[in-house]
Amino acid sequence: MSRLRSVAALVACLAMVAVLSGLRSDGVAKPRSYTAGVDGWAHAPTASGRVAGARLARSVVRPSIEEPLVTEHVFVVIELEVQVRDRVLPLSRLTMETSDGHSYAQLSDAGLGGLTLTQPGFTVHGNAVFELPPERVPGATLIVSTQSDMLVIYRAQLAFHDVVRDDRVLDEVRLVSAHSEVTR
Amino acid sequence: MAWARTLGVIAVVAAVIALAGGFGEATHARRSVAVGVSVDNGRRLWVVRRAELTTTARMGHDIEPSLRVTFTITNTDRTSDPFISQGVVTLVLADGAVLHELVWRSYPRSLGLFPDIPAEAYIETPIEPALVAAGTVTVRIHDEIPHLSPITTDTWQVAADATDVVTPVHDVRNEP
Repeated sequence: MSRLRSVAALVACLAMVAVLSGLRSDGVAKPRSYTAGVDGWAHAPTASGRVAGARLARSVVRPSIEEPLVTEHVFVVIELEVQVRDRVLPLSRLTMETSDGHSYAQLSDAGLGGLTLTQPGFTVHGNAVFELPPERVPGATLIVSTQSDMLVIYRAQLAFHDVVRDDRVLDEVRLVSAHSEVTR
Repeated sequence: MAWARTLGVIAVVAAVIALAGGFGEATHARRSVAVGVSVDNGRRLWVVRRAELTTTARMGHDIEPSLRVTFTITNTDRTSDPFISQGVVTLVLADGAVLHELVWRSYPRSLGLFPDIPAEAYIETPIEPALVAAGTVTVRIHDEIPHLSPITTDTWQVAADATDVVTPVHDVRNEP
């Protein structure tokens, strides 16, 4: 009888897990966004960031690669700096969220001078390049994830709304290599 | 008596499986289109451009005889995702053999699959030349359906329904 009760309790627990699993929305908590102030800096608990430049271009020339990247759409070239505080951050998850609900990851082609794993106490300067249909650029928001681990309950991100203010499309943008410096 | 109860449970489970269709292959739809025609698999638009038997990699170095199939892929989802699930595309050879384990490549650009930005990508798989001697390969593009797994972070599932593209194989082994 005791065994039967144990089995019944197990079945009840499994049923509860199934019900909770079915009721959840997407199973992932929404991260908290920290937006830029009037000085251009956005401050999250683990890092601060600033967009130093945002340009549109048909082609991108990389510092160490002869062949340029060319698009029939438009490249959004972001130059940004991120000051990392308490813990090491990968700074690899940058996305462009468009006003019509699309999410664009940054290009992963070689030689773009993107942000890299950054230790606390350093400020990194680098690029993020996105490829978008031109009509989706106005109003787009740059998101810089400041998540440091896979197992986190609380997630934070830097958000730069309407990041491209100049809608001129340049024929070419020459990228500079990423670099970092000690800031404390 | 306990063994009889166990047997009874097994019989009930087997009966339920049999009534649900058994372990046989699920029924599925098969469509077919010509090379160069766009295939909407629910998540992306696929255009098969060309299939060739080659001994030269895209980067220019020599490789063992390989079947290379080139695609234009347009992501119609709202989110960028460079990963193509195993089994979305399979290659069916003239003798009926099906190639499932395929590696996706892109050159000279990296494969990004950004929303509504067409991207060039290709499969390159070593092959015995005689297997494509008939001159065609069937590129099977499976549908994908939205799916939220309770265990993994996968949000799409490969369906049984598929579109076949019978593609001529060009032998370019002797071409530079």
